[in-house]
Amino acid sequence: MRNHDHNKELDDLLRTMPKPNLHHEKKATIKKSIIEQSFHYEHKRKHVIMRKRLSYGLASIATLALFSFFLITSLNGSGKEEKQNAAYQSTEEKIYNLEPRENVEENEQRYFLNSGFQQFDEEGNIVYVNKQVGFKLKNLGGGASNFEYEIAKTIDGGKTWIAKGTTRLSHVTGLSFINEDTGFLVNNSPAFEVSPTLIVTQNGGKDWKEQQLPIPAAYKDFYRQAKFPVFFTSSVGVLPVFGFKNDEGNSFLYMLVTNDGGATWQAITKNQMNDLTWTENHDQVIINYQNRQIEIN
Amino acid sequence: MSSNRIISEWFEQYSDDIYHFLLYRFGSTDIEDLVQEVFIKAIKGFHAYEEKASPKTWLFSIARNVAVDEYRKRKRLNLGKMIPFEHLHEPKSENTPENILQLQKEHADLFKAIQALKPNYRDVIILRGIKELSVAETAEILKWSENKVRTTLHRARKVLLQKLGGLI
Repeated sequence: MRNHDHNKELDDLLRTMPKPNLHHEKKATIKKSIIEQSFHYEHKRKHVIMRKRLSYGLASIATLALFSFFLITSLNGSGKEEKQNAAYQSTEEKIYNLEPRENVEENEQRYFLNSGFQQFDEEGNIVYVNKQVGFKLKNLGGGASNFEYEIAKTIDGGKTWIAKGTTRLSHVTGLSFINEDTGFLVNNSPAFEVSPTLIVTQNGGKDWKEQQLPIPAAYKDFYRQAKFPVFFTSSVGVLPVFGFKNDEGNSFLYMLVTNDGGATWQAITKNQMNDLTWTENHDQVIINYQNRQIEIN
Repeated sequence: MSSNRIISEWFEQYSDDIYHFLLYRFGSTDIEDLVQEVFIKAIKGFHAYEEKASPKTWLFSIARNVAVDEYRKRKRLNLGKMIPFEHLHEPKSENTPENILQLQKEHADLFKAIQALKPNYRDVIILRGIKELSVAETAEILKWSENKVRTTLHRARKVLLQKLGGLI
């Protein structure tokens, strides 16, 4: 209790440490210098780009000539190479289980974690349940373990997103949906005795309800955190929970496993349950289910 | 919007935040040049800036790199002059941070204790404790996992409390 009081007092003191502003004259001088440097740098950069474009122009003429030569000579052996490439790609997918997907908003291709049932972006803030339907988590802001999170849905593969609902939680770092209605967030709250808890929606993100998760007795008194559940089928899912035991930061991992689509969860401290096995590797956990493998940070 | 216009707007918005970070990181007031250096580096690196990071966390991560470089530089210079390491943060004039910040007794003790922390601990205390950034933001700035942020903060707070002794 005393420790708790000391920590709170320390936090208050830290929060109230003076935060003076830069002196306005000094600020104006620095800003002037930054603007000057910025113009100078931009000018230099444009110059470099012009030179690059010129050399690319020359290079493309040479490439065109080489390409024509390559096209004629490679016609005979092309079938064989295609087969080799296909074999290479399938090995790569098996190892990393990442799939490229067009991120329409950012106009770029990004890799998505693929469980065979769901696809997540690398931060876990977007989940797709099929090619077209996905959900996105957005932190609208807040503070002091009380943030507002918005859940948006897409039915056109990420071209448009429509906000479905908001919920106020302590700390959420990802979301998971198993169909258009049922979805999960994991709340990492200062409520030490129960955290992390599962926040569940059954109507596509409109309403949310808290569901407590089991905690192994050995880890009840220690700090624990989790990101988002990953499902391999509509019923089999896992939620890795990380924690640390003492001041030296001895970390631990246990797995919450569901076999009924998230209705009930079992805490497993070994590294295997039915078709599921997992291993810890630094800050990552590698999970195997039947012939699939995924890595969660 | 041009990159210089954007950086100039970011300077208006975030220069004080960067100033606070460097002020507490070095415990000295001669850091205005470093604030400038952070934004010059931002101009040069602007084309590599990924919009998925917030400008604030991006600028903080540049400031942290600038601080690490400057710390090494200062340490080398001071070692060259054979000044004992523990005197690195001794005030050199009346223009001390304590005077500028007009610290009350408790804050002054805490200020000194923060300066005595090792750099990693100091970073996490400034970002999480003083600047009140989230665990996710701090992790992004320091390029650590969120787990590491929590563990390091936990240890840093413990060391701080030890240094403050019975004062809290």
